[in-house]
Amino acid sequence: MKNMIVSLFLIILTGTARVEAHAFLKEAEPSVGCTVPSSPNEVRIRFTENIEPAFSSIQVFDSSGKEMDKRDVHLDRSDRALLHVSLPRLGPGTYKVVWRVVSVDTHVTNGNFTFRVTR
Amino acid sequence: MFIALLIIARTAHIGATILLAGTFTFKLITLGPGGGSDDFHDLQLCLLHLALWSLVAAFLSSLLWFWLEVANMSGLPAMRAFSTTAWQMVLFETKFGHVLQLRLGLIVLAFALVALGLAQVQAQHALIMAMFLISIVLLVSLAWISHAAAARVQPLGLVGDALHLCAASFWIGGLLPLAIFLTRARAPSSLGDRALLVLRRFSTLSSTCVGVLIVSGISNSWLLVGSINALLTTRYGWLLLAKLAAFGILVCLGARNRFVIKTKLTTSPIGPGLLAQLRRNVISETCLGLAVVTIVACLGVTPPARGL
Repeated sequence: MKNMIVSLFLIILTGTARVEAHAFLKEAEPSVGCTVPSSPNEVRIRFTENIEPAFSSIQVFDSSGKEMDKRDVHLDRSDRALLHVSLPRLGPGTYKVVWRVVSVDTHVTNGNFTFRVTR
Repeated sequence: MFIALLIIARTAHIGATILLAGTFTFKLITLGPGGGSDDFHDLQLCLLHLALWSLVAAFLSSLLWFWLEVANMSGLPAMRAFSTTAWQMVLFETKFGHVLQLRLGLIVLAFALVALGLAQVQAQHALIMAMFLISIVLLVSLAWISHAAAARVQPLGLVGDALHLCAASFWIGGLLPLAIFLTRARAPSSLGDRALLVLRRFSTLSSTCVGVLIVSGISNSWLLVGSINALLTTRYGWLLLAKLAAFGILVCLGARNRFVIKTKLTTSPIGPGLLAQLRRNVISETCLGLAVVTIVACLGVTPPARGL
């Protein structure tokens, strides 16, 4: 009985990956606060956990507050934690990325960051 | 206000689900098959009524939870949550909605089976077994929308969560049925004669459940908190400490029942005074169990310490 309990404990402990339980930004492309030499084709954000695409969004604004993205936010086909939004050709300037996501355990998180295009 | 309503909905829903599974576990494992006495028959009907009210609570609280989640996910004010198609998106396009559909379907099915049981059709044992299985699926499906489910690749985390829920249900969910049994088990009667056996079985089952709760609880805490510092410095950690304190008191009360009162029961004839004392302890444990469920509901709406 004791061996069973110890085995069960070890299985649960070692077989379980890290849990974040609220979706936070893990990495972004263009990355947070970076300067890129030319206009990126899209903004991609990977979150710390799987998200619900129906209620998740990424918006990209220029310095005057005009929305620049193509409003086609979609989840990556092979990674349910990776969200994409396409961009038109952006001119030089600073752009603000605003994101809001719902994780599969229904928690809502949001945030923003900027990146700069030099030419 | 919104968070308070969400905690109320989650507490009622989780509590009702735990009580439902605990009631059928009590009937199947602790009480066992009974004779044809009127006492036993009345107790069985009483347990079915308890299950019926648990289902009503689970159904109504799931509707409240759904309403609040539509507002939460869509960002709409709660009063306008059903004014757009957001509720359809939540119901048909999210994991929460899919699990909710399954749960509502199972609640309706269980409701029909309980109604059949109350109508005293034949094959009562088969009905109870079917209701027990449905109640376990209802219980385990809670893990699919828990913090553990949100992690990217960790199926065994879900197993830990499901085991935790089952152990809590078999023990804490069985306390109210046990209190009802003790109320009706007046010696001399067929239930009074059965009291010692029922207490022994419940004691063995709850001891096993405490072991499973400790193992799965340590595992879940490690995953969601991650360090002693996070346990002591975050809201999630404080709630977890409160839950651990309530759990510790519950275990102490259970141990008191097991070692002190049960010893009296085996060495002297069962008197109404002793059963009443035991019943009071069980009711205290039930109240504490409700407090634990409320803390669990609070934990469910609080960002885990490890993610901060």
